[in-house]
Formats: sequence, C-alpha cells, structure tokens
Amino acid sequence: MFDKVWTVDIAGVRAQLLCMANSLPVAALAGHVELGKATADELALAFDGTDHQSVHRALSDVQTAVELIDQVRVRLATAADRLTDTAARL
Amino acid sequence: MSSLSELADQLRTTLDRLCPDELSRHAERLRAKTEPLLNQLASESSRPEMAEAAALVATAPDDLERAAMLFRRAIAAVETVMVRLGMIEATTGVTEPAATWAVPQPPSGSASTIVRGVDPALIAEGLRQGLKISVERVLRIGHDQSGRLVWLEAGDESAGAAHFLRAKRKAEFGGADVAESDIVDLVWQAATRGEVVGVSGTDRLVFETKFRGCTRRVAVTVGSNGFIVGAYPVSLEKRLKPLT
Repeated sequence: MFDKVWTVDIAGVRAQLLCMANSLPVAALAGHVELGKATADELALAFDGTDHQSVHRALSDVQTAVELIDQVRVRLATAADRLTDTAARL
Repeated sequence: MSSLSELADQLRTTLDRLCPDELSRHAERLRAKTEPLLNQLASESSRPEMAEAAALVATAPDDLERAAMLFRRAIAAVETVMVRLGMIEATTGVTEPAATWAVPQPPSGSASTIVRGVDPALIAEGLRQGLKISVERVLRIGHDQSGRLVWLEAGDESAGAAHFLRAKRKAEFGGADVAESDIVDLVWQAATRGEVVGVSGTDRLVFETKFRGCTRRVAVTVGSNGFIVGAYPVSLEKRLKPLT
C-alpha cells in the first residue's frame, strides 16, 4: 500500500500534497464568480425594460454558470483542506 | 442618454469579464494533472480524507466545462441582440464570428465542410432593412452585382442550402463534376458575381461564372427579398430561354 511508501518518504509526500492543495484554482474561481455576478447585474441593467428573449436566456445562463463555478470552488476548497490536513498529520 | 456606440462599448466591456477559455483551461489542468495524481494517492492510501478529496475533485472538470459553455452561449446571445439593435458597427470586438456565433447545424450528411463567411455588419444592414434573417443560420451574406443584399441560410428541405444539398441535387452537381464541398461556394459565386445568360424552367435565372478554372452555369432562385431559395447546375449545352 502507498501508506508504506509515505512512511519512507514522508517529506516528499507532504510536499506533494501541499503542492496539490495550493494548485487547486480556488481563488481563481472565486474571481470568476464575482465577475460573473457583476456581468449579470450589468446585463440586467443594460437591458432593463426590454423584451429580448435572448438576453433573458443569456442572463439565466450566466447565473447558472456562476452557481456551478461557486459549487466547484467550495468543493475544491474542501479538497484542499483535506489534503492539507493529511499533510499535517504525516 | 447613452448613444448606441457607448452602449455597445459598455456591453463589450461587460462581456469581456466572462472568460470561458480560462475556465476550460482550469478544467483541462484538473483533468490532466491533478486528478490522476490524486486518484493514485487515494487508491494507494487507507486514509479516508484522501478518498474524499479525490471525490470532491472528480466532478470539477465537467462542471467547469459546462460553466464555460454557458458563458460562451450567453456571450453569443448578447452579441446577436447587439447585431439586431444595429450596434455592430460600434462593436469592433466582434471580429471572429466563428468563435462567438453559434454555427448552424449543417444539412444532414452533406454540408459538414461548409465554412461560414458571414460579416456581422451585413447582417445588421439586412436587419435594419427589415429583412427576416435567421441570424444564427446564415452561411453567406453579401451584395450581388446590382448592389442588392443577398444571403444564404442553412435552410431546410424546402429552401436554402439544405434544399440544394439534398441527395437529388447533390447527384446533379456531382454529374456536372462539382465536388460536394464546392456546391455552396459555386452557388454563392454564381448568385453574387455570375453573369446572367438566360432563363431555365419557368423563371429561374441562369448565372455563368468561372469557378476553379472551369466555366459553370447554375440556375439560382433568389427571392425578392434577397434570400437564396434554391439552385441547380445547368449544362453549358442546354438551350436557355432568353431574358425578357
């Protein structure tokens, strides 16, 4: 089992886990979420009072995408915590 | 009150904030690098938090790709509305229609090689004229030799590209030594730059044009609004009715 290898090269595995945790794009996705929300707000404002079905669909798409990205961000942040915890316990 | 160009600039700035390509790159990196390594560590470890981390990462690439697709679709939709509103001349950012416009589905089994040649400014011109253009299905648009705006849409069995790319017509073009991948370009060239040499059938104008080094004749039906309805090849030997 790999756990045996971990005992042989604890420092190496710890570094690998921390590197992986830090490489997860949690902060970048948070940026996409904020920009996506701002975009949706501005589109809604720009087309306020108009009746363009395409714009309504576009707004819905942006909002759905933002929710998806935020869910991924939360999952990756949790994964990063798990990896960091594991590294700390080695 | 903002002018159209100011509004267009504002919308372009707004849309530029969505970065679908960057999301796709994150997805690809997770899929290609993070996932394999994490899965390996998790499968070879008895630590439950490793398996949990792997499970949390597993669905991320697909979700990010889906989000990227939604962003792309939203950008295309807003740009289409901008065209309809006549903002296109101010939206200089729309320089790569193929990247931002939905590509119409080609007629089944036939036109997969069609490459769109669409200038959004011409679509905007047509919409301003009140023409009923299915923006996302336009394959070609331009002016004929009289200066009239004409356009070709993907169409269906009864009109448009799909009409003259149906099996019967493809066989006729094939019989005239026109490759299937050349049919759309030939019809378009004939309709926009060909010389009218006569009439075929009841009232179809026959256009003569030099295409890939050969003189070709094509009967093209163009609606009074400039929409290309249908086309078929005409032999050079065929006697044509004179123009009236």
